[in-house]
Amino acid sequence: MRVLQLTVYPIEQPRHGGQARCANMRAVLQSQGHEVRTLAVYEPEHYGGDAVGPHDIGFPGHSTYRKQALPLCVDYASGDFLAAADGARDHLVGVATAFEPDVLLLEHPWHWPAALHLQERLPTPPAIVYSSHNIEAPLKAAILTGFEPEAAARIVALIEARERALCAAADLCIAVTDTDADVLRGYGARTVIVASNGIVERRVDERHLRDWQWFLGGKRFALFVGSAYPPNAVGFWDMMGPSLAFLPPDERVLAVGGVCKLLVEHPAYLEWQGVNAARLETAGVQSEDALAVLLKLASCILLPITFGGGSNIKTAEAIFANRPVIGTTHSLRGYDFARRLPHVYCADDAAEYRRLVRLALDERLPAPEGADDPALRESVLWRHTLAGVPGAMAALRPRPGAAALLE
Amino acid sequence: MRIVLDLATSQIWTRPPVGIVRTEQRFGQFLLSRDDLEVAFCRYEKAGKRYVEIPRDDVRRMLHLDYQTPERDELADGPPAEPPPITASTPAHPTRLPVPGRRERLVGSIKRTGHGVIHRMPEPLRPQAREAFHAAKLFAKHSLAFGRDSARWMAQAARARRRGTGVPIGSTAGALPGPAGAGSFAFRPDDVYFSMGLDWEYNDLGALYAERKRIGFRTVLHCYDTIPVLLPHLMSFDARQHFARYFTDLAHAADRVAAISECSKQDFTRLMTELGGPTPPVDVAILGTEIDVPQARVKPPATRLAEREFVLCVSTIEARKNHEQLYHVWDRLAARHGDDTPLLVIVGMVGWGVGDLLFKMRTNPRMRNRVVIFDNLPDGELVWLYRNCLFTVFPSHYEGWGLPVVESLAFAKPCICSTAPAVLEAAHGMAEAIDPLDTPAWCAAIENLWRDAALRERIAAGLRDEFRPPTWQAHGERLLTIARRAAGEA
Repeated sequence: MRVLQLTVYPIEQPRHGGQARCANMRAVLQSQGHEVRTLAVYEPEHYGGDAVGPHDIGFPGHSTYRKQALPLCVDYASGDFLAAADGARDHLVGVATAFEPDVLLLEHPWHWPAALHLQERLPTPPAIVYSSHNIEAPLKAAILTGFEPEAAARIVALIEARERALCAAADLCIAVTDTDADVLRGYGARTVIVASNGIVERRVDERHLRDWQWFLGGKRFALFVGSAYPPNAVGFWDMMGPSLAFLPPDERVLAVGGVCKLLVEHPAYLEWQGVNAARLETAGVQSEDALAVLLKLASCILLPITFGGGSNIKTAEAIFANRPVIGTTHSLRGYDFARRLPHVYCADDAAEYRRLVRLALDERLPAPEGADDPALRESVLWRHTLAGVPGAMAALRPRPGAAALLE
Repeated sequence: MRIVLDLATSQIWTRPPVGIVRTEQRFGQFLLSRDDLEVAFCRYEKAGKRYVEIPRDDVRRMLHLDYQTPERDELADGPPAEPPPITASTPAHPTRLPVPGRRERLVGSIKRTGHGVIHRMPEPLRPQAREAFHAAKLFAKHSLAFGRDSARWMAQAARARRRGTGVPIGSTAGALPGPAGAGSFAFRPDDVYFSMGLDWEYNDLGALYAERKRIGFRTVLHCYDTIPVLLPHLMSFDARQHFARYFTDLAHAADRVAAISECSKQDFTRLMTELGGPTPPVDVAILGTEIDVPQARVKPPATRLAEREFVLCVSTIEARKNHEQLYHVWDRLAARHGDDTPLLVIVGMVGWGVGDLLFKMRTNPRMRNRVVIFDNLPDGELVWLYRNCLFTVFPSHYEGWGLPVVESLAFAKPCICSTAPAVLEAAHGMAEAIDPLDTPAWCAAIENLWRDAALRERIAAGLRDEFRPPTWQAHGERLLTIARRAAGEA
């Protein structure tokens, strides 16, 4: 089976959760013998070189479609760009015509107009699979809080319309949580399977471990890993705020990933910058090796997510790391089984959340009640979470339109 | 229980003591006077990032134990005590210990020179010069600290690499002291450590926190006020962030906090709640009021003053103290009463944010010869002013305590003060309080009290009968009670 995968970012060198999901989806399909080709409509100012795949196409800043896009809505505009004659439509048609895909795998709803066009252009219309990462419309509404309300409402309505149209037309929808699956069904999806986000099993490199141990000097820290995704920073300050004054002078939060910039630009950080700067270390984007080591060395792992759709890949990493995890109902969504693990704690009240963080840093968390369950922890690996996808795709029958054309 | 007092501020301070320095020294004197207590003295040594002991003899010399504290009655009415005879072993004047090292001497010298240069600059240039000097100080301080920490960290790293062990890093990790080494102060688990100096300048509360955790002793730290965080616009520069961190570290490092007023206690608790930080128990310890000075040193700062009626205002001249209000009042009084208007005598260092005000005082023809400013006045001359003024005024926008109000009442002098919460608290309802922004009310009250000698006398008589000024002895006893609470004995 040939699968043409459409994304809004290159996935050759995944940096954030969405990229990791797309890359692992491709890897799992390939591991089952399917041929997968990826076409990303990406922002060239953020990616280049080896990070870009052979079929990816840039969505340049000077494009009319980007200039017309609202702030934080370039993803939606990339769909218009990909479908437009004066955009990247010819490139898409060229790739698809040469590849003759059996399945068109959309990783986001943005590219639905282009997929629709492709259905009409290809002699054998491919099956449509929508792999939803989030329920995008409410998430975008939250992200656009504070923008001009009418413009925000307009774009949110357009996004929801696109999601609904795609769900109604898709042969298969893949959701990351049961909750999201219900929403997709409500949007008209006929067949929905749930495939949670997962992680790659990382090996801790001994040399890296020694270096980080030397660098950290046995100092206790709470680890927060997140991408430059606004809900990550908002959730952090919702649960850890109003400031980090609750941490004593010798305890720190170590933030890793693109979220660092958002954390220090957040109003809660700036309001009490003197206190926060002394208690929050920002390490920026780190290698996978470094991340594996930090997950192993952390006194606890923070998952302070309070809103946003989908399931958080960082949650899976935290669960697998077998270190104390301080999560929220929201951040553990899609991994509800993890609450059975003795090292996973959950608090939705900010004061209780901060209390658990302090206890973890002081190594005074209540003794776990149950025993560790390695099999349960390993269920978060991609090879397990996406295990049902290849079979579900293989079961897809040719689209009626295609059959009619063949006849 | 052993009481350990940190005297870093007194040891480094080279100018006449301000309130905080005086408080530290008074408690030191109190502790030395108590033979029934086990007492030790230390200071935080920034260069070595450790606490070191100060020998008791050095403390005695540092705290100017040359003459005895006069009784309150002597201060108010009778002659203060004469100094003890000078002996071969006693210096003719109270002497200060040499400051701990060349670094402190150099820093002190640079600061004094800088302030001196600014003081001599044309008034319009002073605010910017002060800002620039402060920025340069911060830059130099942090650059030196960064260089020092980097060098230390790299040396530690090199050693640790060779040993195959880790070293702490981070903004303060390098500062965390290890087990007490040679020369370090040996804290004991039964110690109650007191610090009441300029801790944000001369202490490291992160180091104190770590040392307390390691040894298990108890700590009592002080909160004079939270004005830099609460009202940063009333400060000479925006120190809000710096002090928010300081108070946070203080809340973590203190078993108990001693506030100098109910107002400061509430402000501190409110700040920690707002920050989401810990809220250690806070006790109030009211500062003493006595001014120790031998009768022989009580004299007017200028002979002409003895011939004039004057109203006294004791406070640093800066925007927060609201001398602007007094300017407006005296301008109106002069317009109404001409040469009969009493003199306004201001005692205090010229600070920041008053350039325009001083310009107006200097150039307004009605104000000519109506205002006198004394800076760096000896205590004897201050006592003379308190004794001989008509009454005192204190229009400050906000305070942690109202010491000049209490001093005025202790000298049985009527006081017109502001309605700032701590000032009201200090006045005990025995001073007339007016909103600091209500110019007509200030004008009416001052005019009334000036023109009604009988009223002044009635108030003075009432103060002599009823007002009991807080004493340093009581302050010391109160701190001992707090120490016992911290130690779990009370």
